[in-house]
Amino acid sequence: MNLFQNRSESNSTGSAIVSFTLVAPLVIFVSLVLCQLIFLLITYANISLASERGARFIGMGIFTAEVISKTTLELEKYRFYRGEPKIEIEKVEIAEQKMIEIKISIPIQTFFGMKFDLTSTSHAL
Amino acid sequence: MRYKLDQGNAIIEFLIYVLVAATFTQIFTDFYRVAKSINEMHKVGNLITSTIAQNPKTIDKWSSDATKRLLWEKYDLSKIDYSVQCNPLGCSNNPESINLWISVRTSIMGIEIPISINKKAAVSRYLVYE
Repeated sequence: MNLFQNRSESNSTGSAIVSFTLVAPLVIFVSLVLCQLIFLLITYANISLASERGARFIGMGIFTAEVISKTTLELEKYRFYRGEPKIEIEKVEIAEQKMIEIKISIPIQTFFGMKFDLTSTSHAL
Repeated sequence: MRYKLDQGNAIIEFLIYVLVAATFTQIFTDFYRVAKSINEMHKVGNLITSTIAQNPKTIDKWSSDATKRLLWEKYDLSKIDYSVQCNPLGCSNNPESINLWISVRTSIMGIEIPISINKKAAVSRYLVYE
């Protein structure tokens, strides 16, 4: 009787280990995706705010070099990725209205090896 | 026989876990895209209303398809649509004179959800008192 009980217990422990081995990678994968998206969202919010502030500085008539240095300082606040942010300022015309466009892009490399540029654009009148 | 049944159950259980993981990944990714779209939509809305407030004559230019396409490319928004008009008697410094309705179609788990916002603005009073 005792022998059968021991065998049944060891069987259930074995199947639990197998289940855990199968499920653990999935749980880790979903957790990594969630962490990655949180980092991406914070980075995106940061570059979006920085580009809007940059556009406001341009609107105030501040020189381009100073706008770039102030925007770079803004970008340093939440930096999760190694890539250097690129700030481009150029004159554009939208709806026959002359504007100044500020575009910030950060190269991103995800935990899974995907590479892409996260960009945010803002305009100043 | 019992061993085979257990094995089958384990495979089905594992497939369900894979499905749940894929669904959660898709939902998280979709929410990220929706949050990004909403932020970009607000930026486009602010740009349009502030430009019209500074220069009300450009209102027709903003409603053209070419401008919409340009904004779509620049702000990385898919399927953006908006309508802007001045009420009730043309663009003025009435606080609700410029009325912008902007909508973006996003999808969560393949289900299309239109998100829209309404922005109101007034023509800059410096232009009126000039």
